[in-house]
Amino acid sequence: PVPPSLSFMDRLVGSTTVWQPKGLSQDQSTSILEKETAGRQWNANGRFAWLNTDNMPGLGVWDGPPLLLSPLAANVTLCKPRSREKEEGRGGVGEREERKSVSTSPPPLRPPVPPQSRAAPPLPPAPLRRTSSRKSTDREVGEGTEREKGQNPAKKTEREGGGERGKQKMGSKPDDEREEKEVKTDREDKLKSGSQHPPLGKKPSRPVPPPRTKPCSPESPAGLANQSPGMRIPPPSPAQRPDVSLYSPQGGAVLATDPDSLSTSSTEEESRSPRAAVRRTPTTVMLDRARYRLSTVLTGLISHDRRLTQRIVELARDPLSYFGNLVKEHRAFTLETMSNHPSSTELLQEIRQMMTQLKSYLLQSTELQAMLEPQHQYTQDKLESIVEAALCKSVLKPLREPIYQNLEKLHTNDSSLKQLAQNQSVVLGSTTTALGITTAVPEASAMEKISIKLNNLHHEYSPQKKIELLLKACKIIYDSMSVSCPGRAHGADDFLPVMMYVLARSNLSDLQLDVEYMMELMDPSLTLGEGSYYLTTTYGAVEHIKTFDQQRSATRQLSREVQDSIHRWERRRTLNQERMAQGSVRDFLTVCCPEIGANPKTLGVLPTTTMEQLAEQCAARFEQGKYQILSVLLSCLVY
Amino acid sequence: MAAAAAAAAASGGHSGKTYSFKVVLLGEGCVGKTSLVLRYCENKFNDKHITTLQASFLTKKLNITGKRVNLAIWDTAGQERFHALGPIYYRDSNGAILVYDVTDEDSFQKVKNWVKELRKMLGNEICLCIVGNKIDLDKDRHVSVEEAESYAESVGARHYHTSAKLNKGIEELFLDLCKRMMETAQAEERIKGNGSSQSASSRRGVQIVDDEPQATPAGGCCSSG
Repeated sequence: PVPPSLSFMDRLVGSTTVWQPKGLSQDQSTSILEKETAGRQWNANGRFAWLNTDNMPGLGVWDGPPLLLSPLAANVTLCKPRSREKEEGRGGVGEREERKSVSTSPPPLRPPVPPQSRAAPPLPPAPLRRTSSRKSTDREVGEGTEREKGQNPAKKTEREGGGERGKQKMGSKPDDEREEKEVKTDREDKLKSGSQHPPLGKKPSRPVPPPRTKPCSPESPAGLANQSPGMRIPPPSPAQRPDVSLYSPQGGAVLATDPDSLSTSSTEEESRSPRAAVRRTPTTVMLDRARYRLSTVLTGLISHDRRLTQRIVELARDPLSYFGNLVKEHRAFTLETMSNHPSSTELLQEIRQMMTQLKSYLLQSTELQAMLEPQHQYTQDKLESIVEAALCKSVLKPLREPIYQNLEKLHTNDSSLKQLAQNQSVVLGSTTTALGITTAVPEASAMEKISIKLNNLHHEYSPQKKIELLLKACKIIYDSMSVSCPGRAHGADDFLPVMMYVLARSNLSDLQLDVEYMMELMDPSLTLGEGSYYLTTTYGAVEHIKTFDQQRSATRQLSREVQDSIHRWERRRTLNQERMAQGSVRDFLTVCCPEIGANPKTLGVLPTTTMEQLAEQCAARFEQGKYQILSVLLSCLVY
Repeated sequence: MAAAAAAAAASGGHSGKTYSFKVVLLGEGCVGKTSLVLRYCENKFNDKHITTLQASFLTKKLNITGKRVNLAIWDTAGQERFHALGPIYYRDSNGAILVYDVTDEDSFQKVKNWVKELRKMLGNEICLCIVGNKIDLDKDRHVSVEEAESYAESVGARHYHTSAKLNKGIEELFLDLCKRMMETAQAEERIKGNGSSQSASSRRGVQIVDDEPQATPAGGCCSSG
């Protein structure tokens, strides 16, 4: 193969990076490929570009596969020029491949940041961000239609070739309405988050009212420092604990009375509200002041967390960021392959694995580092939980619907939903004694509250929020159990039968899917917690209902299924631990080589990884000879 | 968010300074599992949130030889009909407390069944405690001390006598269990530490991450589905 001449590459490449065979490190990074010849422009900030040989006439002569290398961006594209006529002629198969390559192969490059500013690339100023995220939504719209129009490769290719953005906009009519709404809320969010970032000089000095519904008043969070001691204290607000959010005006007060609530189990939340109504004596004023200070600090911290979450969500939407592209690719991949899974567990575990990977990438990436405000140090755990929440929003939220559809399909096919429904009526017909209940059971009003919680749970997308709602439902159950003997603490012996009783009177088929969703998708670091315990109990109750009628004779047969589930759990646990322990993957590397294998493969790369090792990895992943890959890679390095 | 943060903090045992352990509580109904653990967690740890909690799931923080330990104690329903649910509770456990009633021969038999199952499913990495509860009713004892202790020894478990009513032996039980779990965890860390340094030198830490399990070769049905 004759490599393209240097001058040609010069034209293509604004600044070429030498990818040293010795290894990959962030410093060596940053390869920029500019490709004006093919009609694709640098996008606004000129942060990345991709290469698609299809549109590069100049490369037609060159038969060697490698084209683009970007170590830091962790993207290697080895594209062989493909002739377009051939593709169009290929019909069905070509169609699919084309789709794939559209969704996966244009590999995003890590924004080329000049070395000196690499450690902390400045965030674009607020207005710029607004536009960029506006663009991002447009892009998503485009994607949506792209998927719809996936059946028409020719058209797409054509669109691909031209000024992409404009075309996408034009072609995006179909689900505009919904998307448009999203754009709007997006904008609103933007505005709000904009108002949440007051210039540093103007430090606000009052606890914040809920930013969700109201724009912040100028006197907002986090100003313990410039708070004068003689300041008026806001009157303690009467109880009314907000649901989960700590954001209400009372939020601060409640927080102060109960600083523990930040770190406590959520089941008790509701029981403690009355305490906030304190009579005001001089001492309480003093106390209030202290509380108030504490609360300002806490509110400040919380809004920082919120802001960071929001930023990560924005990053995930940003088509110009590497992370945004990862998220997009993963999502496209998941949507495409979702219906291929033989079991719900596999389906969900793959999604969880993907999230864990995105999380571990982000936690080690400079993209996240750049977003952290230096004055706010997060512990690793805290940071992880923020990233987790942001990932739920950006990854799981759009997937929730399709996931549920697929789960339902799978469970309809294996007739477990039917079996569950049948047994539900058996349990409904059983007396409390037959169920083994020794305490009071929830009355109608409590049942109603429970079913509201469970219904909200069903519609929630975040496993963690679902679990919070589950805990609240459990709390109501416990409360009703205590009616018969107040003050007695109930153990699992008492609780599980009542749980069965309650679940038999709920929407069990929804709940079965919910339980699975939560168990498989929850943050693996929470598996020891209270939420996990009650989730397990709920799972147990559902499983028990499922086998209720034959249980006398066949209790032990159930355990085969459950044993399988343990093995899966074990495997996952090991995987997660390994991942946590390794903690040293510097970057993920996506290698795309249409010539050899259809899909891009993602590899983890350390700063110390050598070319040879990389080639070994590629060889293993693509199931090709090492030397073949090596030669491919090495020929890349020439430029 | 609050709950998530709490749990994350509780389980952040990877740093080496804080250990997070899960302990599962097994045994027939009525042997006093719940009162045992309630006694333990209530007694010393009078933190307000414990009292509002129920006894099914309890947590306890300890400080053992300068190391912080977070215990999460998972109660299980002891009725025979729920036996099949055992695995979903004991998976991932670092320790198991198997409680029987010294006045009830049958409950001791159940403990033996659990031991067999746990060893089969989890191997030796789980620390087992066999606990004869209700020693305040010693005059009605139906399980002999010798029998119980020699059985425990034969299966690599420790045996304890407790009385939840008199608050006897409980503190010792948990403290001892924690120490053993710490030892196990440390041993595991050592092995892992050696293992990873070896593999690091041999593989230079290259990690292959599968982000597209299966599905890749078959890809054929993607576009239609």
